[in-house]
Amino acid sequence: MKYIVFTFLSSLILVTSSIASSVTGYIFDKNGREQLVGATVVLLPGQANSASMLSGKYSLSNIQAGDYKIRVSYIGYKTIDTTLTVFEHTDSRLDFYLASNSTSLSLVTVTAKGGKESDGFAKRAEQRADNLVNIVSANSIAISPDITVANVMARVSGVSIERGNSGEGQYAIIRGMDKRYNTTLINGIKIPSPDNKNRYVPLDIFPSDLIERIEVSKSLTPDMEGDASGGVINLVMKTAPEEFRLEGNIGTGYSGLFSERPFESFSTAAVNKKSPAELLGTGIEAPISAFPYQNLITTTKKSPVNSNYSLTIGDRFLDKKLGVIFSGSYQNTYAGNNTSRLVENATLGPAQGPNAEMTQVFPEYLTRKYSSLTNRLGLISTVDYRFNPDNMISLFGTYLQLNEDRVRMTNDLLLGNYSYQGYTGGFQQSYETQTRQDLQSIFSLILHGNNKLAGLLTTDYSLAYSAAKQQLPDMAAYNITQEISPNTSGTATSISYGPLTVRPEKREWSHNTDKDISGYLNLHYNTELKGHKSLFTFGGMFRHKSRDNYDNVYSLNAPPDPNSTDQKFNSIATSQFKFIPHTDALGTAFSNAGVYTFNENIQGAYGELKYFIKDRFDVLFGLRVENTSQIYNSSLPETIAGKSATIGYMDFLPSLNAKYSLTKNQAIRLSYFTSVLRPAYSDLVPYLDKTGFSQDDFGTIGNPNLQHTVINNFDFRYEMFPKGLDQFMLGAFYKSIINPIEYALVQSNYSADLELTPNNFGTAHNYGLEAVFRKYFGDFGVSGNYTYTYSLINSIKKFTYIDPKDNSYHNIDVNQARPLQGQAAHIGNLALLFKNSKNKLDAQLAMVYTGERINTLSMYKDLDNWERPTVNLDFSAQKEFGRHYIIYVKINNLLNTPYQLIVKQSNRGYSGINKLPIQDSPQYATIEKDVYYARYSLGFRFKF
Amino acid sequence: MKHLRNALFMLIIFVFVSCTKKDSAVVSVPLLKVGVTVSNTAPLSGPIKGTLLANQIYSVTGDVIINATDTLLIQEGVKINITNGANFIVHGTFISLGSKMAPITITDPSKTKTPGASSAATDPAYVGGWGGIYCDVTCPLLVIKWTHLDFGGAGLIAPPFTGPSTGDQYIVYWQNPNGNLILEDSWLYGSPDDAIRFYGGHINVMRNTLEKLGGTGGDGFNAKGGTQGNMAYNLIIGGATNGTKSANDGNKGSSVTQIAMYNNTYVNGGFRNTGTYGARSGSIEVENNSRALAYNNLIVDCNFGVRIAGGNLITAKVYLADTLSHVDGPIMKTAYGHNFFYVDNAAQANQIVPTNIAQAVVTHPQPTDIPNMFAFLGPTYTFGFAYDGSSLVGQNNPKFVNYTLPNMNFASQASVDGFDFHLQASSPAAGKGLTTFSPIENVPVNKNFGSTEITPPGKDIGCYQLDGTGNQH
Repeated sequence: MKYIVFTFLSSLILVTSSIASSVTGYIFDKNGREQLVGATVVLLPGQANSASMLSGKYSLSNIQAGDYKIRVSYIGYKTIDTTLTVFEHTDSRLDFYLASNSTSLSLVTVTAKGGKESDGFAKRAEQRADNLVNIVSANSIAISPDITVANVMARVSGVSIERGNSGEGQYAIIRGMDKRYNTTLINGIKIPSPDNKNRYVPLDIFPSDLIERIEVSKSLTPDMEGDASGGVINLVMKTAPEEFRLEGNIGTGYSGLFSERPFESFSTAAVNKKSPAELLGTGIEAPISAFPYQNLITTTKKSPVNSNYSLTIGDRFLDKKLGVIFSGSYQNTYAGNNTSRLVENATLGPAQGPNAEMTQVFPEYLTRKYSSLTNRLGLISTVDYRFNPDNMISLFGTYLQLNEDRVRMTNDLLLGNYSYQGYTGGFQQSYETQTRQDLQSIFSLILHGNNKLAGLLTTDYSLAYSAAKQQLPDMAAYNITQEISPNTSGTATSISYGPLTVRPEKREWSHNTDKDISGYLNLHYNTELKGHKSLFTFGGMFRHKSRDNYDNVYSLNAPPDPNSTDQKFNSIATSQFKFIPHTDALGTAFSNAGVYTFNENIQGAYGELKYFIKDRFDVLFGLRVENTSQIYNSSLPETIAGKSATIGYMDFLPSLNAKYSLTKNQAIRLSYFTSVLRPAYSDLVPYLDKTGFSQDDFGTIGNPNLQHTVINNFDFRYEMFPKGLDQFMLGAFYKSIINPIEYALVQSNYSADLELTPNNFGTAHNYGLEAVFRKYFGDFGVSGNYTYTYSLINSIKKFTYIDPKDNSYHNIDVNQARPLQGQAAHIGNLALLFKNSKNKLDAQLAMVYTGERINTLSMYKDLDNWERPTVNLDFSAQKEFGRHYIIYVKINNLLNTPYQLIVKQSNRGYSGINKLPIQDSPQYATIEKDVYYARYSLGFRFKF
Repeated sequence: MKHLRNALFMLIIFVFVSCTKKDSAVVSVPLLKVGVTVSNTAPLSGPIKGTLLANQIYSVTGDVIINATDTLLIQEGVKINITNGANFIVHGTFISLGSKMAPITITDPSKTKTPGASSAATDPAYVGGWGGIYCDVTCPLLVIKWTHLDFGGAGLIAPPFTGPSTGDQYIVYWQNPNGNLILEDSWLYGSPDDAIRFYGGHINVMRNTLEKLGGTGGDGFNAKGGTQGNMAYNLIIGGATNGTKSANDGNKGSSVTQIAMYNNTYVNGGFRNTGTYGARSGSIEVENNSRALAYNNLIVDCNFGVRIAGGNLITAKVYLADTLSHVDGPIMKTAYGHNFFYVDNAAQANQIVPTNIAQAVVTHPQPTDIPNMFAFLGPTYTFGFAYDGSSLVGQNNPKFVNYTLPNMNFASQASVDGFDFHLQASSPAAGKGLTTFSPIENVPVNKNFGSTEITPPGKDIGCYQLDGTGNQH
């Protein structure tokens, strides 16, 4: 595979050279004096035309002598029409300076002008922003190998992503700060999440076709909401163009996984959208017939093909005052993975001394096959009206939907105490079929306006209503099991299998909605203080959030056959189920913390001053105050602590951003800000959730005593923008995190199961270095970034040992230092770019390196689960035909990089006759290995 | 004459005294009463304290709650009919003081006991009727004497306090590491899961009869998390998994589960454990760093013998029992022997010394056991390995007073019915017990607020002693 890619890359490098007369030169932005890439140069009469390359260079060759009209145009810029005389056998040089249509770009706000989707715009915006910003343009997204926003995010400096079980990225970890420290905005407005575990939206719900650009702010100014510490991901959706625009995309794709095994699907027709308790009423026992078996029957499909479509249409009317854009995207994706996992036992024996280590043991080996059919629908529309340059109003609406039908087939081998064929043999084998529908949607409506009130006083405001919804109707799991008997103890030479028997079945309904009403008002006053340009801004915001959550689980027992202790298995259809005890027919919604309502009110107010000490030196400082009040109420019984809670706190969040321009192309930035992290709703409600949205191996349970986190952030950045799109940035950061929230495995309520619970872990210190560079050589470019992060936090771990002095047993709590959860010390991206404007060929080979990081905290000392370092390699290429058509190819996960979790203990299952599966090293025990295979997509895009 | 009168007087006194000596009448002692009288005119539910009066019939229709520092006392002969799967939620003290002559019964009136063959599929004993006695960390004392606990274990439809979970199906749930739990001379009949789940505390669980405990899984007495005390002189018949078990998981501090299991009679145990094959089920289980003594137990037609979990450091779900020597007690070292086994098929015979195919086992064959497994397996035997025990089938009949062996109904006969598991005088189990070790004495001995008697080890193996001591049923 790699070989093919490199051959393809080298075949692209065919550059023609001039024969007769030629005209070459550079095309610049008139103001910024920066090269423009992809501007077109047309000679008339004749066919000669060219487009500027990455370095801004264009060339017209093989031109006959004569007089020509020359036209230079670039989207977002005023077209130049002029004349040119070409002499025989002469190579002329001619540079053009295009004037921008756009007004000031100094503030990264949506100003509804063309060209904002370009890399150049993105870079200039980064340079001029008040805070630390990285921007990914739509052009970058289009030519990158990514079809969702999450995958795009992985290429931003300091960003690593967390993947879901289809291999798609879902959440961003910015500078090692877990996803919970980062917020996601649409057009600057926070929107709720359909995920019941997170406040912030899973990025894989967004098709990248809808996005104009992505801004990642790594520092906050007082006008920004204070709950982002790692960063703010702002997805700026497509806005109405200056001229008529029609764009579309038709693509297809394929996952290499399904060459290896078939895709599994189930019939969703039999899925009851509501649980029996919702249909019959709470407190009424459901009949067994309310649980049909039909949605547990799976069928296979060979080599399914993905499809994706998108269409964008936009124009401007009424003397360019009224702009309209509509964009829609639909993706139908077959994905999956194969997972192998050794299950960690909850209860562990003591270590053999105060300095010895406890040993994690693995009584079960699970192999799972996931098959997911994902439908993504994205619709956006914006209507804006510009009364005049100072006053405008816009209405933005979006509807996003992600529906996943998933089949999970599990083989569960209980590992015994004998050897078979060199490995530890099993004594029981279970087979589970789980089917699940996951229906998520987000609806959002945002009204935004800019007005000039008087002279130097301007205002902007936003009003937003959003609703996010998730539904998991009838998640069903069916289990059968059989005994395995070896012919002898010790080392067996043969094994035999007992008859299959039916085990209890589980059915679960859960759903949640999150509604959000918010309003923002900002006032800007532009003035001079003692001759220094000053911009005062003050304003406020409110948000009212209401969330409800419902969860209802039914356990259906498999009664034994007459005069037997078990039920022999024939087929799903003939298996018998019964509620034992009969009260199981009520479901758990009756007394379940998972049935709750949660309200949150946030009020914020701020004042800030941007003050220009010199032309080249400005500071922006101010204070923000945020007040939080939360209340939740669950259907837990009154007698249980945590049934309900009322929580309130107020935070004062000062910040300072300073920028000093050393030269025109170099600047130094310094920033300090205080930010907060509010626990997610599910972090607080003591709801034991085993639905496994993010975790398939452990249930999660909230903690109402959790404190919110306060973070002090310091950043320093040096940046240089040499020429064209080249750039170089070097940054350093330090964060002290008071009461960080992290999930640790605990054993709750004496049960032998482990559960993930959020906890505060003292104060963490997090610091690092960050470097970003981009350099172009003619048609080639290299871009990359690297982030080093060091973090330190202490957490309390359980440690039991037997003191060999007197054989006494000790069960103590110890402090153990470790990095933050999810944080990799080393994160790097490297991309090789090829862009030939003449042949209209673009190609990109992108690599992402994520160093080792803690995935899950163990309750025991030394036994945290670490994710092994990964190198992901993706390739994409596109070729433009004429002016309007593009064909593209994208290949993701070229190296079939596995996701691997390990426990750093000496590996007793690595060698000998009692080996464990999936082991790679005597130094550590591998506990999980997931493979996704490469994914291919091919498509066609058009643009008018 | 004076002498005669004196002599007559002496004679009268003598006669009177001798008559008093021979008179079998028992002079009643006042029944203990605490607080107010609980009336039985209306069904009980909600917070209650005080005394349920002797020989009255009460009905309970919803959870009865005994608040912290309150006491609920049940006098002898009381019958409590519980409907709606209701529970006793005990934050305070619960005392059920039945007597041999007038036992107490707590039951679900809709269920009746069915003698004879019992099937997990059809016997109502395995489907909980009323709920259980759920004791919170604030419960200092639970005393249950001469009480029938029939048809308990309905699933909790909501957790009553922090600890148990919805769906738990225990007859008694205990979680006070500093409290005392006394269960003596009582009967437990039918439960879907573990009959009693202990997390810590001091216990004396003695001279009880357990029938039909565990539907398709579940132990009789399952002690975890630092529980210490005795499980002795119990007759346990037809349990789904283990009769008595000790484990130290769920431990909150450095105290270790230590249980003395002696002079119990285990009959027909471990044949309804589905879902987990071959891992653990039978009579006695000692695991997860707990210490235990297992002496003088009579184990008849059980799926497994005494299992001391070995654990391995690669795959063991259950880890090594505490087999080390200690300077502190009450149990200085896990020890076992003088146990008597009778088996009716080769599969049982092959697990008298449990093998380790599913889970590692460190039970060493003991020369004091009957049969002498140490001699039977020979000096070259690797403990845990499979062996052929078929020649032991039908050997060493313990000679019960009324229970014929061989008996091939071991998988279905799960209740005492009309059988009598006392030993005949000629029993080979008679006089073979070890009496030189001490029981654990960590609960108060008191007629009302403690143990009636911490019966020391008996010389006859099993729960019934030929001298009439031991189990009184």
